[in-house]
Amino acid sequence: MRDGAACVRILSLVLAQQQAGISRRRFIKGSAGAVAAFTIVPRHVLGQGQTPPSETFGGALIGCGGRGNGTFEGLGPDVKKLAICDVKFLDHADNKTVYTDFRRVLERKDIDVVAIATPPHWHALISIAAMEAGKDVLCEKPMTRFIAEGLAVAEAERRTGRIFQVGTYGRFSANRRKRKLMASGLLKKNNVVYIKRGGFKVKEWSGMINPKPQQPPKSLDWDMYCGPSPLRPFHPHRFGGSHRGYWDYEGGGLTDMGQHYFDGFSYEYARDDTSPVEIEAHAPVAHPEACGMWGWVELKYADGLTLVFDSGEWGAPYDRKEPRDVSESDLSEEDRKKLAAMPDPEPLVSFPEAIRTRKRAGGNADVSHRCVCLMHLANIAIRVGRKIQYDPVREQIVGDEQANRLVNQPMRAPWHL
Amino acid sequence: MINKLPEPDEHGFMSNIDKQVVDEVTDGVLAGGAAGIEAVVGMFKGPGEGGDYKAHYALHCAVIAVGTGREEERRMVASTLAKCVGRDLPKGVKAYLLQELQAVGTAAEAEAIGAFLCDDELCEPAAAALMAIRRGARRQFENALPNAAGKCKATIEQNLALLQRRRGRRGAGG
Repeated sequence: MRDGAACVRILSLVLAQQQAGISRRRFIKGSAGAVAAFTIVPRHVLGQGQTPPSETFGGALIGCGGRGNGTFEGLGPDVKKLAICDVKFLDHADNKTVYTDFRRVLERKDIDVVAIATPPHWHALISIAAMEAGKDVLCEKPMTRFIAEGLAVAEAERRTGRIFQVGTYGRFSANRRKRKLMASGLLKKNNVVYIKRGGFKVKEWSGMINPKPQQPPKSLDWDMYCGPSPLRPFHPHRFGGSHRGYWDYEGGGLTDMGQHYFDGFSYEYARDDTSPVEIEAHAPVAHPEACGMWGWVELKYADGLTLVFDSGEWGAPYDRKEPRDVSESDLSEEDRKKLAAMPDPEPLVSFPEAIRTRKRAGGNADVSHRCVCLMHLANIAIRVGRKIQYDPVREQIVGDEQANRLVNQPMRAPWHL
Repeated sequence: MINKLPEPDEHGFMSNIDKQVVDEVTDGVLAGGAAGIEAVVGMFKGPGEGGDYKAHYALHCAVIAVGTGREEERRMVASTLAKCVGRDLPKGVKAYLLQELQAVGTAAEAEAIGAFLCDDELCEPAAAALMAIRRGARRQFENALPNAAGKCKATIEQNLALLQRRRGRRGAGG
């Protein structure tokens, strides 16, 4: 009811503005202080596909660490920041514009869009809750902490019809011609070997193996920070960026950088709806809590494509195969003609465009889930120190119960998928 | 033997790790059978006391090594951990053992794990281990529920609901 009343008020004001011949922007600028509470009409008041009179979206930033503002900027220029939320704001939260609990933010009807820049162990739960509350979501990479979370986010995206995009954009500048070739089904044999050497920040985003427990800062809700992950004794290295080095929150430099590196790969090589079937890591068994060193990981797809992560930071470099790319010269003359006759891939929809048009975003939950699964599978192989087999349809590890327990990890109550 | 495992570097990371040494230590621990596992657990200290990181890592490597294809050794490791977790040990040590049982335990260890479902400090790692094991978990949650309060009760109720949901999905063909 309150939103409906606000909608009527703003429409009346816009009508008055038009009658007075005042431009919309001047009107908003001149009365910004007075109308701040109702210049933003929530999208849901007007229904999908409708543009609010203000042409502005109400936004919130959840997770205000190093990537917060950068992620929020990805929402586009028409999203006004109405609320910020972080578990470290205990000392100055007012539950009006500054929050510590994302659930209070999601209750607000004037917020249409949220940018999520918390550590990754919160990404899935907040994304799902936000979409269920009718918000569109731009989520910082990596999309998830483990595989089952991605399936749940993708299901929520379909069920709610909201827009979801991961905050990495490799696919938007990817080679669409290669995508067309790879998706065409015309390649008789896929012997692509794609090797990414270096850049994984393996040592930089490692975890401490012997952190001495400390008292958390008074401004930090440590229990809420841990959230669905195990409640550990506080140590500053588990927080504030270096959280990347702990399995409880992320998956080391591999997960942190991987979604950037392989978002474009997933699109170009048409891997958006499948996953590798065999994953082997050259690494010592990982520490149970702290991410650590690894040499390389080889991921093989059922069609023959091989993807390799070579850290260059530990052990001997990968030398099993040489890189090999694909080109139209791999096709017969007849198949080249068939390829030319096929339609080009549709342009990908950016997040700002998606929230206006309600078209699905280019980096939506399904494709981003498949991309981040590469890193999750590699990390599982690193953690168990043996070759694993993966069923990309059932999205389960086959024949290795211990490894499969890392696909869907238990959460601490009250949090669950 | 476990002293061969790496010291943390200047950042506290295990960056100077040698896979061959790790494998040798792991084989040595497992060769000692249940006594070997108990000896490693005996090196654990309470939270904050420090210095037991090599023992933690050695036990975890043993747990991972027997994860698949070495069923007899897996049973030995899991049953030994289940025995150890029932002893008079600091809560932090028990939490670590429960975490390892989450990786290596089966229904055979469910009862030993379920004994901690009403312990405010251990109900969460115990529940996590049971949910990973799945088989035998429901009975443990149901048995503990009447005696649970606060956080433990909420943990048990949530996990019972999740198990019920899974059962419903299976029943529906999902």
